[in-house]
Amino acid sequence: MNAFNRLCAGCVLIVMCMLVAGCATCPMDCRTCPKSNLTRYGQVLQVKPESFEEYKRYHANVWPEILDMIRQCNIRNYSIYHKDSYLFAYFEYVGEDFDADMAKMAADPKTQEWWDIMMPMQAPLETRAEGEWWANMEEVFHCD
Amino acid sequence: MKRYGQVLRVKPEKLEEYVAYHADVWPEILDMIRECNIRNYSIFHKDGYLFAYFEYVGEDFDADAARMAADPKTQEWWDVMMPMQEPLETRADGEWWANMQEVFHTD
Repeated sequence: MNAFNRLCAGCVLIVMCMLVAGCATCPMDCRTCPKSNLTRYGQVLQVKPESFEEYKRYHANVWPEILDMIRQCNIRNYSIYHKDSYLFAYFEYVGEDFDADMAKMAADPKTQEWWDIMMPMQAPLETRAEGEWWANMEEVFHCD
Repeated sequence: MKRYGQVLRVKPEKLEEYVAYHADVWPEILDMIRECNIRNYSIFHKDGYLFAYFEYVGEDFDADAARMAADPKTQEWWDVMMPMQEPLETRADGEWWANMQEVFHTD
């Protein structure tokens, strides 16, 4: 009975967060949320070999405003990996309008400042689609 | 939980076949992945590169990897996949998929 009561209190909290406060304050894991429409992204570009150490240093201590903006733009579980000058990014998008969230991120002055430092260290792929910097990849396989 | 990023290449003339196999992976392979404590496993493609991302939730990655490698159905799957793949010359000793270095992560 106690466990049942606790579960119900948790459910009420989750429903309130979803309906009233929105996803930003919801304690639930987006990956198991019935309301969430999760899309996985894989992206790739190259880092200039002479800039890799500096790139790594920046990413070991990313500015808090950048992390906040990533979260505000509904990006979760975001990782970047490196091998042989390739940078591979993986993240999960849990919002409703990816293009609108990306426009919001691009309009943020602190993000622009961060990109002004990162972009000269990067070499985007020639084969990227129009308007891309990081090239979107095709998902070939997924299992939970 | 530990996150992994891995990379290798797919032969251009084999990409279509590789994608077709992965659209319909044998159920025994999916079961073995799960039994070996691998979760949220994705493979992405661009320009001949295949990038894999997964999360390992077990206690002993090497033991689980050895268990997977000893599974006959997995061996059968790999016998089909490996001729379509080209591992990186720069991979570490004993690797097929080359492990990548995690440069950044935020939850």
